Amino acid sequence: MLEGEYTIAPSLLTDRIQRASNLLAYVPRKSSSNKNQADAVQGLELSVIWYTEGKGTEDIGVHYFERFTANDIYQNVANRTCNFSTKLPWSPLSYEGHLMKLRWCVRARLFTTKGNDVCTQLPFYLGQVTREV
Amino acid sequence: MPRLFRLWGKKRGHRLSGWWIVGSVGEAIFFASLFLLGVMALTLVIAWQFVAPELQVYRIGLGFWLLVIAAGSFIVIGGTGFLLRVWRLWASDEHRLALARKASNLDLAGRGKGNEQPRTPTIPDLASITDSPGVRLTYRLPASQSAMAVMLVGSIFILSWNSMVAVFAGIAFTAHAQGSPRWFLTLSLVPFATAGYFASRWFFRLFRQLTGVGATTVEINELPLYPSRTYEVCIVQHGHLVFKQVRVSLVCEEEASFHQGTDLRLERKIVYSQCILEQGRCRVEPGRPLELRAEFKVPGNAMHSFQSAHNAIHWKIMVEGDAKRWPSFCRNFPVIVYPAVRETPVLSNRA
Repeated sequence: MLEGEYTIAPSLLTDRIQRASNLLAYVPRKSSSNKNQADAVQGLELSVIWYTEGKGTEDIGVHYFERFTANDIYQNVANRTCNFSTKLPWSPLSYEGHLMKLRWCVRARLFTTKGNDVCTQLPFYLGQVTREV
Repeated sequence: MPRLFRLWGKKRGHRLSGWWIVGSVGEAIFFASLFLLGVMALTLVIAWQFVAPELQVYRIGLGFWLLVIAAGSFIVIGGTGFLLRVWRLWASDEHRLALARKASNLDLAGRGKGNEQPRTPTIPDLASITDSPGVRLTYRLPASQSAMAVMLVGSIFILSWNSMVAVFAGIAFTAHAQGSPRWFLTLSLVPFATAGYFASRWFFRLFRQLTGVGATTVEINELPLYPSRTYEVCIVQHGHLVFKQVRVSLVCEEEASFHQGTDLRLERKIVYSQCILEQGRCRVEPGRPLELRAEFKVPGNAMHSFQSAHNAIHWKIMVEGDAKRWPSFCRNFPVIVYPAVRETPVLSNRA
């Protein structure tokens, strides 16, 4: 019923997500001496979101969200990488318009026990036909 | 060496120097204090009635109820503000949105099963435009209600304004008749009456334009629309008039709402317009409406319809007419364009 297909360069996306997972370099090994206890990790949030940019007030939609606690990271995340998989939705597609732009990204937010959070996001283009016609 | 506790921070682009948490904690403390103040005040006012009613410090009356309302509002504002700040401290934007989405999906859990239609939360609901079957083609499109809404609001305003002017005019006339003229009121009536005259003239012109030209109906063979596909459309124009020109277009319009100071602004821009058909001079008689048929193709690189809280992309069929001895008119009939996709892509990373 639905025709056409999305264009996502899987290798590029994988590479970008790999770079996002480098955030986990912040995570100290559990067996380490914890010299800098203030920088210990409290949790990590991984999300796939869309958001609008442009003249209008920003709107955000969360498609995928997962939260890892410090224990999850220590125990389950091997080699300081973070694997996830999600089916992208039918809409909204990425769009470059006059008044608004619609963007997709993978966002990783790392919380430290100090109370700070480090956030990085890696944009990707969902769809192939959604530039302003 | 860690920096000392910093109360104030500076905004540097998207980054905030200092501790962002300080501001949020400060707000939370403020609202918590407000809540406690409200609880204490309410307790004091009510407890006094039981502990020492003979003193009658807060006698039950207007003052008592005012104090109860004030203390109650402190409790509501403080409690709500405190909970919201704590909620914001506890969860990130994404986490809050994810929880909100999860909550909104609870009642939809059963509906998704066995339903082949993709769930497209940012695309406007199709049911609103497919509930009316057509006579010539499958669906009859509903007209955009914006002009009717303007006329309705305008009529309420005109009625209220002119009633107010009439009451004041009556008072001024009575005062003059009784020999004690109110000159300030009389002179004030001049600009008020002038404004009422121009508003009434605008309203009747709009009324004539909307009701005099006759109804326009647009029917389409299929909904929703998909890029690169061809559709048939039928336009029927009723009334009793002579058209110099009729033009039908497929239009894509972006819409963005934003705050400017304390005002809420709405901006629209047409980003695509495709002429479906153009009709030259023609006559419309009662019982013999003008009937036009045409085919159009949705462009292959079209953005789908989109609706979020502050941004939107609308597709519509626009009918513009230039009639003899009538003001030109423009009527919009919204349609919904779906994205052209074959399968749901999978975003995955298996390192």
